[in-house]
Amino acid sequence: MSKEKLHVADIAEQLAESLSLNKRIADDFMKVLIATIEEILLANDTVKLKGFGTFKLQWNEPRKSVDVNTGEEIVIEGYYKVVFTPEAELKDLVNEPYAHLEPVLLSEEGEKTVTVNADAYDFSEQTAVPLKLFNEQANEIKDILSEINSLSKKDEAVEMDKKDEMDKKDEMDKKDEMDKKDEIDKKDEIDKKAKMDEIDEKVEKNEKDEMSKKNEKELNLKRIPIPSENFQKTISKSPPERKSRNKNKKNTLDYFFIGAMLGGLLIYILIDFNVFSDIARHIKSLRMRSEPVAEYYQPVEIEPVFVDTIPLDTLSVQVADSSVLNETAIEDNNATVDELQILFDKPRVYKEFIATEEVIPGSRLTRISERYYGVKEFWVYIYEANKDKFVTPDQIITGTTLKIPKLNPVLADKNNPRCMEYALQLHDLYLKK
Amino acid sequence: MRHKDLVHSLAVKMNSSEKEIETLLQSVLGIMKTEISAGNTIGFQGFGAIEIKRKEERLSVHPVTKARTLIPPKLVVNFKQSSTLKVKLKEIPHHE
Repeated sequence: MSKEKLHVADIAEQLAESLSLNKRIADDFMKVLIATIEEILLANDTVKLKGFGTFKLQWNEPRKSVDVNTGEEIVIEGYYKVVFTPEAELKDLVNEPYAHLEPVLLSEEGEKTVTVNADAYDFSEQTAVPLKLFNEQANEIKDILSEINSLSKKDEAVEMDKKDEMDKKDEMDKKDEMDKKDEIDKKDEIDKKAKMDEIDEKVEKNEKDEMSKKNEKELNLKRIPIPSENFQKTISKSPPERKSRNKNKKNTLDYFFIGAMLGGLLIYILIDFNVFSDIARHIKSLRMRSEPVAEYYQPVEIEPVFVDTIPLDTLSVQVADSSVLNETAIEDNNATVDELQILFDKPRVYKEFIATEEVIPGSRLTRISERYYGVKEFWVYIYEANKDKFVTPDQIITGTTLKIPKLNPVLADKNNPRCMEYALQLHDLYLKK
Repeated sequence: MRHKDLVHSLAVKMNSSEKEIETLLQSVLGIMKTEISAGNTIGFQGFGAIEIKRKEERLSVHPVTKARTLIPPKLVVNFKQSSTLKVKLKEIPHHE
């Protein structure tokens, strides 16, 4: 393809040749032609050339801009511009070299499976993380103690200790603070003892186990306050534990310990802020599936205080309870209310399903709910029945198959305002997480 | 202005019959077409230039179905107005 620049004269020459005309006539004609076109355009009209294209004026609106050099705001005035629209004939002629190419639809099949796999992988990894965490934490605590023991690094160690405490405090709920204080007291005591006494490796291991056990409890049971006897046990055990330590630790090792501790801290923080809730949810959903009724009331007795961290089923009970308190004022429809309340309080177990629904791009739980139950508010029940397929309720993975549960007509009565209210409560609950 | 009107006004200016002008115009357009499709640029002094531009291939995503389509490259005709024409156009007042 040649890239020459032709001028009017060249065209005129060719024209004279092809029609065997006087060159001057051809030249004149070209000039007149262009002058006419220009004239018509300047009169704000369009020029249509058959089999070629259309010239017309386009109005560009005034707009604000910024002077590149001074940074001042300037207004670019509106102006006309000549645009040329080729006819289809010319378009095709020009595009001939690429005419054989057609748009290709890229299949997404492979990607879909990849994302699903990645998700599954994520989950397994998340569940694997806590075990690692416990060990790291145990190491971390061990390291702190060893640092305190070596007097040269004393200040630094205390600093680290403080940092650790600060981090921990951050993760703790307000309600946990009491518990936290106990822990700090305990730690201080341990530190004091550690400074004075020595400890041998064996006992240290014991302590490590105990620490990791404690952490395990904390994480798995969602920070149930550890009974104070437990602390006393650790405290009473700790003095002899630390009796024979100091001297086997060398200064060179301390640097390694500092590094390891920082790493442990980092992982611990990361997990607690990002991954932890997911793990908890996952564990909880597993639990709900296996024995939903048995575990139902138990957590309420153990941890009535920690609103933020209670598993969902207990929370729903609490919500329901508070609504009961409200309802006591209304005496009129007591009987029906109580029946409903019982229904609400009961953990829902989904065994019968009326349909399955595959998630396509653009699917929404609310829309599916509207299709099956007539009301979009009841999406929460679909979510409950398919909880294991979600990470969060607003993230719905394309390609998964949702089971649409058969709902108790009394529970999911769209004409009953209480049912709607309850569904909305659940809605708030799930989306707040 | 339609093609016919243009031919008429040209005929008046050139002092010749519309038929003649028609044949002239057709051959001019024919020549320009072949030149453009051969990849050449035609420049009109004081008016502008008609040239070919290559649009690169691109990936388009359908907003609803999320179907991803590879759009092949293509050649398009482009008109670039000359700066003298631009100055003249500035004098046209905007009505609307």
